[in-house]
Amino acid sequence: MEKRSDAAKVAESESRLGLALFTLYLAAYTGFVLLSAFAPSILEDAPLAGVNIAILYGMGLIIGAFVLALLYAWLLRRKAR
Amino acid sequence: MIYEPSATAVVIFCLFVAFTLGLSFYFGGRARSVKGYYAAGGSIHWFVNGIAFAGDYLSAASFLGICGMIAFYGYDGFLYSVGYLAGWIVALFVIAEPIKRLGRYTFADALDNRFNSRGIKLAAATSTLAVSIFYLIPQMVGAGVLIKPLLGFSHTFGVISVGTVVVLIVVTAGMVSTTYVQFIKGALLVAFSLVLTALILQRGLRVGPGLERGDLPPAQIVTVKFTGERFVNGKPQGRGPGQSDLEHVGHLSRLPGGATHTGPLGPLAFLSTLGQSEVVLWSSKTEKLSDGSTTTTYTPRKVPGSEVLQPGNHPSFNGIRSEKLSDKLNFLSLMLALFCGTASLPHILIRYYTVKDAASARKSTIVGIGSIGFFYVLTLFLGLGAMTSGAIDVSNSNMAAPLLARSFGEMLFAAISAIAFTTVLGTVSGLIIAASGAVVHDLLTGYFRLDLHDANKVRAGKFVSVVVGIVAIVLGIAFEKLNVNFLVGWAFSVAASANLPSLVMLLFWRGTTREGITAAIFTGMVSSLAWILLSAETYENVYKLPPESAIVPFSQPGIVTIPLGFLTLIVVSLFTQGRVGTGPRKG
Repeated sequence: MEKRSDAAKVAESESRLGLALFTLYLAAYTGFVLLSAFAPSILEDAPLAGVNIAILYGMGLIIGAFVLALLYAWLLRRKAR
Repeated sequence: MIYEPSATAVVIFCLFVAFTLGLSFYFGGRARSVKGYYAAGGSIHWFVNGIAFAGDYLSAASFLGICGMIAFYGYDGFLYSVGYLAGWIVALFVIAEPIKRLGRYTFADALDNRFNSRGIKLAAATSTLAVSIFYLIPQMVGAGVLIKPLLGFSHTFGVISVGTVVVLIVVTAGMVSTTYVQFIKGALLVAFSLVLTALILQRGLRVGPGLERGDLPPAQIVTVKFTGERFVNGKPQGRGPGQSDLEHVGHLSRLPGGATHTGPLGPLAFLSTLGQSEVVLWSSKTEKLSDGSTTTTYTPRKVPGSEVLQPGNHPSFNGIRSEKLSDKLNFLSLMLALFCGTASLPHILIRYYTVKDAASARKSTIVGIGSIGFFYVLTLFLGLGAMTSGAIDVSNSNMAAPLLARSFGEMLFAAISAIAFTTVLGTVSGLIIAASGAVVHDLLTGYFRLDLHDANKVRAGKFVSVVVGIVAIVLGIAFEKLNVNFLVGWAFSVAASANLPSLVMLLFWRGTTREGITAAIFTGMVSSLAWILLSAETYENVYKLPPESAIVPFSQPGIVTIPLGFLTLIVVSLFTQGRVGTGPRKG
């Protein structure tokens, strides 16, 4: 078995972290799509400031993507130190 | 509706064009080498590249299409915003860094990195060309659709002028000028959308004139005689005496608590107030009469705000409220294609080669997600703001965003119109570079093994850019009547079906063979294209045949053809395991 370089190890751990965050987001997106398709009545409730779940969930997916992206960058930087 | 061409808009548009062309000539010297021409020398700063992602990605369909769809149907347009943005998660977490590490100029490089196979180059180049052309047509049609009402030129003139400007940008400095044009456009689009949103919230909501008494405005009827003469409500269309034109629409019929206006609102209060109000939406019906004329009737109806802020009002999304499984599958399929399509678009993928390393690729994707996500959050306010602006044209949803801007004054209208044009310029130039790279780098030197010198390769690249530009102009004129949004959906489905299975499996399955990749690209591309051509939407909109006679059970191919691409890759790879030279190189 050949010894793998450090760079390859770093790349692998980055990709494992990336895949974990990807799975998290995929689950949230799938939830949104399935709710829209099979239980749209749940999206009608307005739990926060009179804004309905359809909007909150949709906005949450957009803003959540950016938050996850920042988290990813932060975790990678901490690992690198 | 008849528009008064705006002199300010023409002047601002010309200044924009002059500035971008000036920039291109200024950068021209930097694009003499192949790396300079196709990858901007790998020297673009990650932040600039991140905003350029926004400029590349936020096409006319995003800006005009989504705003128009929300303005006419409410929440449904926002489903596209969510799907388009979610796709960037695939790009960031799965695709960005490996594709940067494995490739040089095109994504075929990355796919072919381990194999050096002519088959893969041919397959990847073909799918790049197919996707780019599909994506180019709606951009060019969009340019024509816009230029007619905004600047008063004909559709043909609009398409030719936009095509010429883009070809000049691409030919002078390739990816360098393309990147800066996209950077400027991305920044301006986000900034001006923010300004518009602030103005919408500042204006608040108000009940339309005369609607507080509970009456509905009368229906509006447009008749087009077979001679081409147009009549509105029985009178010749025009603004003079004895003539008539369509009324601007987009009003509330009731505010909560019987108020007539709200004053300035915060973003959440805007949404919740709208949810408790009542909006007048217009539906249209077109009939062909026996004397050869066509009549389109626009009928108003009152819709509760709570319904407007729910998915399922647009014809494409009716399926959500239907009991039929095939309708629901169509929706799931579209949302899957949007999710998988972004990271498979060739003009997005090539932007990873303009930065210096994998870390920069990652950072620029994060900046891209931030700016694109911010814009998509604003689309909901822009669309709903247009819906209640009292300024929109009932016959043209693409004009909702510019007309919303006009309701705040001529200067803003001119600026938004000019930005809408740069939107087309930015996206089209990226697509032309992608197509040119596929032809020269993948086909000529990769597949046909032509031994081109650096300078010759750049020359060939510029020549191909001109050819692709001309093809785009011709198609933009030929497909004038086709719905703009429709084709962008095609491009996403084809890109996701053809490219994503190979990209993902190459990265995560060591058993992937070159035969597997080649077969998966061709199968994904051909099956998704065939599905689209046999779908009810195409029957209705393109062939003008009854949609019931379509062969496939629902219109969006992704949910079938993306898994089919994966399956093909796995099966073919398993059958071709262990052949000499097919497996990945060790090391």
